[in-house]
Parts: sequence; C-alpha cells; structure tokens
Amino acid sequence: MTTTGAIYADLAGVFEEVFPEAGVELSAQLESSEVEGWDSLGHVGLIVAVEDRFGIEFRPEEYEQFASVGALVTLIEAKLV
Amino acid sequence: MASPASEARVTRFAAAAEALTQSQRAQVAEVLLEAAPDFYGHLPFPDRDAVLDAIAEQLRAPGGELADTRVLLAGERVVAAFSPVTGDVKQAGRESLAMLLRRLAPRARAQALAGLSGYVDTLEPLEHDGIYIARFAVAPAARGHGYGRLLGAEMIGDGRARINLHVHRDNRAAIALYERLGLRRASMSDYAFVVYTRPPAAPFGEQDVSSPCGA
Repeated sequence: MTTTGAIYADLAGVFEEVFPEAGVELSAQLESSEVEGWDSLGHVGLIVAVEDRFGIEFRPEEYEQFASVGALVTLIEAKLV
Repeated sequence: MASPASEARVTRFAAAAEALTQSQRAQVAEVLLEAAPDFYGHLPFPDRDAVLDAIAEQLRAPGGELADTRVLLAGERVVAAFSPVTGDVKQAGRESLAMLLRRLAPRARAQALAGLSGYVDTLEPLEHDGIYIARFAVAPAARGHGYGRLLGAEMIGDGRARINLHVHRDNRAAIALYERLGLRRASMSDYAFVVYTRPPAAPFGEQDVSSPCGA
C-alpha cells in the first residue's frame, strides 16, 4: 500500500507539470483558489494527470468532490487500496 | 453527397450511441467537428482523423456532452446531428474534456488547456437551467434541403423544457433558424458566442410565428 507521504511526493510532480507557474508547497489545506491555473479547465488537466501518475480513473461525479489537496489525496488513497 | 435521389429518401432520427454503423458514426463525428471548430481547433491532435476518432468515441461513452447525440438520417446517410445535455452541463463538459485530454500526451494537454482558457472566455455564461444543446449542425453537403428545420423541431420536442445553446454572434444562418424555432437571445452581452434560449412553452408549430425573423 502506498503511504500518504509517497502520494504527496508523486502529487508534487503532477502539480509541477500541470501548474508550472504556481510554485506551491503542497499541504492538505491548500485550496484550488490558492493555486495559479487551478480553475475549471485546470481542474480537468489535474484529474487526467493524476490518473496517469497513479494509474487510477476518476468517475465524472467525483470531479466535483475535491477543491483542495487534502480532499484529492483522500480520493487517491481510496482508489489505491 | 446531396442528389435528387437522396432528397427523396426517407428521413428518420436515431440515437448515435446505439443504432448506427461504424461508418455512420464516423459521419456523425464529421458533422459534430463541423459544429464546434473553434473548440476542437484548440486540441493539438496529430491529424483530423485523430480528432474524429476522439469524437466518435464520445458518442458511445456515458457522461460526456455527446452521449445523447441524436442523428438525422436521410436513407442511410447522416445529414445532421445535435447533442442535448439534460443533466449537469458543467459536469458533462468536464467529462468530455477529460476524455479528449486522456488521448493527448502531457505536453499537448498543457497546450490544449492554454488555448481553451482563451476560448472559454468567449462563451456567455448560462443563466438558466434547462436542456443545453452542446452541438447542432447540418452536414455541409446536405445543406439547403430543410434538414436544419427537421433537426430543430426534434430539438424542441414537446417544448416543455427550456432549451439553451451557444451560437457565434456572426452566424446569421444559424441564428435565423433558432429564432424561427422560438429561441431568443438571453442577454445583450458582448461575448463572441452568445446564449440563445427558449423558455418552456407550447410545442413548435403552435406558437406565434409572426416574428420578423420567420422565413
């Protein structure tokens, strides 16, 4: 099983790829509104990049279930179990 | 190709997700690409066939904007199509975009998102709930035979649901058709793609058609 720390490390690479301008330090509390580029379109780019990196797939109804890094990590963890 | 013989052929509607052959599905993809060239133009697919494949895939995938696409057939030929979205419009749009991005390499995805963010800014926001028409087009070779009106009547249905759609403000032919069908501009906004809307009302044909836009 992947640890939460390992998920954050992988996710940092995803954020660098999808939001290269943002230059943010990932934390559970980080909200989409605080990340440059994480708008409605960037959200879809993030989903697809996370799917690739972690080998998982999101269902459409899950897209709206996260607007923060913490909620995204929770979703990823649930899919990796 | 439109010919006198094809004009005489019986027309019927079909659901793109189910009742079509692979060749017909490819024709639908052509029509839908034609319906939204500005949108698809921002997606850096290697060639036109790759875009058409991506669109054809969406006809059979649940959840996206094209899942409920309805097709007008004249004989066996696809002459027109429209894509109604009855559920959450934003969610369907996101799922459609995700399906397209999944087919692109990471670098191409970034390019697509950068291009699309400019495109999205040209769309007037939707103010009303209702059925959103994500695509509406007649095949170029089949224009001038009244298929647009047939398609429009199918789109309105019994008229009891509000219809919303985007149209480029310079697309006079489409706007004239929409106005004949009872759609009106939602606001006097300054977007390139403006919203036309038709409030819940009587079925098409029973309403007042004496507007100056009627043909």
